[in-house]
Amino acid sequence: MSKGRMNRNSRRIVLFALLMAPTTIGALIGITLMRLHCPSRVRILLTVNHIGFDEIQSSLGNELFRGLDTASFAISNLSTADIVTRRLTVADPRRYDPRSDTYPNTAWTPIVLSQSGVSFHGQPPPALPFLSIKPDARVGGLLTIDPINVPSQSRIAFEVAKDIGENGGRSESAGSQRPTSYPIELQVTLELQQSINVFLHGPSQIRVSDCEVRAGGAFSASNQSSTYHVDPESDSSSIRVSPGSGPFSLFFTPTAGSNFLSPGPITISHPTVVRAIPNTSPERFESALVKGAVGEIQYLDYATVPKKPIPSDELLHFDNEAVFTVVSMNISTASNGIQVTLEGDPKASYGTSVSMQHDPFQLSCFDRVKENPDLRVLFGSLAWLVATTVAAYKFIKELREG
Amino acid sequence: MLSIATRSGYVWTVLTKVTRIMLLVVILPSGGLAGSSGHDLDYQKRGDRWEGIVAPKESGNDIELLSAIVDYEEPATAMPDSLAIRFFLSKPSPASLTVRGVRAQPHYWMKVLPPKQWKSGFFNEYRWATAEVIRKLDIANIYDLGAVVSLTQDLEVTDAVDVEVAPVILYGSKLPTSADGYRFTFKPITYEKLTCKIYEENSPQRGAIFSVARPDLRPGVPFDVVWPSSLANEGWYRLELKGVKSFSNQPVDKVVRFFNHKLVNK
Repeated sequence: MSKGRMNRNSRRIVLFALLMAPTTIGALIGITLMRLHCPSRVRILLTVNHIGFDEIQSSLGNELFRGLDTASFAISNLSTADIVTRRLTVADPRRYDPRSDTYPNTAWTPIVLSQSGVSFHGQPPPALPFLSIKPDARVGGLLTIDPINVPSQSRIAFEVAKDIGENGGRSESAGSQRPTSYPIELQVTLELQQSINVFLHGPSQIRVSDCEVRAGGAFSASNQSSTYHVDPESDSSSIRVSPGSGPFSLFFTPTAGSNFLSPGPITISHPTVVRAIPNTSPERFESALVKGAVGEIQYLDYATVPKKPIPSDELLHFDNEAVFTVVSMNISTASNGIQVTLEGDPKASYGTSVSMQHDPFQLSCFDRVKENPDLRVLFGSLAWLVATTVAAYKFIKELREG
Repeated sequence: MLSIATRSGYVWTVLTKVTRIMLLVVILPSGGLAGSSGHDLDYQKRGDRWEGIVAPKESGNDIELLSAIVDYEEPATAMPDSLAIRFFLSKPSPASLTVRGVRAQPHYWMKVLPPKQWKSGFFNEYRWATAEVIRKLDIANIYDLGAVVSLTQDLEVTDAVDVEVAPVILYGSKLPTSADGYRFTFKPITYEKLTCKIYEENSPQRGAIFSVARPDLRPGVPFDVVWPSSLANEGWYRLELKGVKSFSNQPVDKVVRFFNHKLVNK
């Protein structure tokens, strides 16, 4: 091959490379921008059966709940519960009928109290002290829980009871045939130093297990499980409940559809939306997102970007420094779950499916360029400038050679 | 002066390098997702037993027996260097021994392998070190654990509606002289309302000698049935749990059979 022909071929290659350069560079930049994800302010709507987080701060003095109306109340790891009353009756446990969940009238024995007060004291380990309060079924009504403040940085977990025992009932599968009349009870696991005041608005049943009952020396009993009937002396009498040391569970039945958290913004970190898969070792986790229910992410600064759905089988991941504000948390009877709305600007957020596919929820830098008019003009101008410059260069060169 | 071919080769090399760098920039952020964790606490064979953490053991039955132990607490309940389970058998029998976290670390699980033939009397004992797993899990109190010695089946993740057990003395160094009560711990699978009654197997004409109501059970929340047995005769007893699921009113049944033997040194 002659030297001149080689030079001509090389020139052609260089010219071809120069012609292709804008497209190649543009494509590479585009692909790179599409693969790079930038932090963006997001609103995440989830329907979950379990969510845990560290509470960093609440605008209302670390208040988690405020004046919560509930159809029932229960607490594990009970230390003490005090109630002011003179009218207390206790049921004979041998006369209990589980089918009707009642005791016959003759099973109740009044307790004569020398002073107006009864205390339930949880027995030490290995006992499992537990207390539940429910308004009298014949009267109905609600209980009210006083505001509850939690220590900063404490770990809190909300859970819909993992009730897998009712046929067609409160299963976690999509489209369960759960009758809507079933109340949804929440279990909150937390640690607390303060007492909780529960207001009774009428006659109520108190069920205690592994507790000692003390009533001013006049009556004392230590029973594994007892049911008491309390008739408050005033229209609204309270029970002061103190948990033992360490974590405990609080059970309550909030009104569906309304935010049950304190109305002030609650800042949280390390949200987890997973549940351990039973009987696995090493421990494995599954998504706590409810199948068939709402799960989506909105990009608050980019109204035209469509909401991105979050598949219910994905495990959600956020970067360790991610901080969110809980906008609301409410019960959804339709999906038998907790609807949570979070806002934040995590540096990284993505989902992983069973096949370990990585599904980023953040906008790509390409989306950000596309959605930002200034950046769009800048990149458009650059692309136009490079392309026209190269074309002009080639045109002039061809003209000279011609 | 460089020839055009050399220059084009140089441009190509630069382009290749740039492309590689860009690919690295693109690929790196999505890589390194898989994490690793320590596996020394995993459920695994440790000598003649399997021990470690297993994501919550669930049987899938309406109500699960977590523990059947003699209601005894050693004076010093801080975790000793080794723990022992001792149980009575009225006749030689094979038995399956399991220990699990009940009041703390519900992920802890220990199983003695294989199930073997044990002797009659109160001298059946299995002892294991706490350093390998229990101490690492910060289980501070012996009685945060529960134990089941099953005489009817090899307990793994399920247990039957009707189960025969040998109540266990769970201790570190000091045995009680007598078994004056039993503590049975159960876990319901759903909202349930139950009555728990104990019958003497050899006196069918006698009604329940012990009865307690559990009207307000929640899924996954364990509860105890404690029977003070100091006045009971030696022999076989039957603990019956009967009731319904709170929402569907479907029946719930569980029977635990056990032998009451009072004196520990016999």
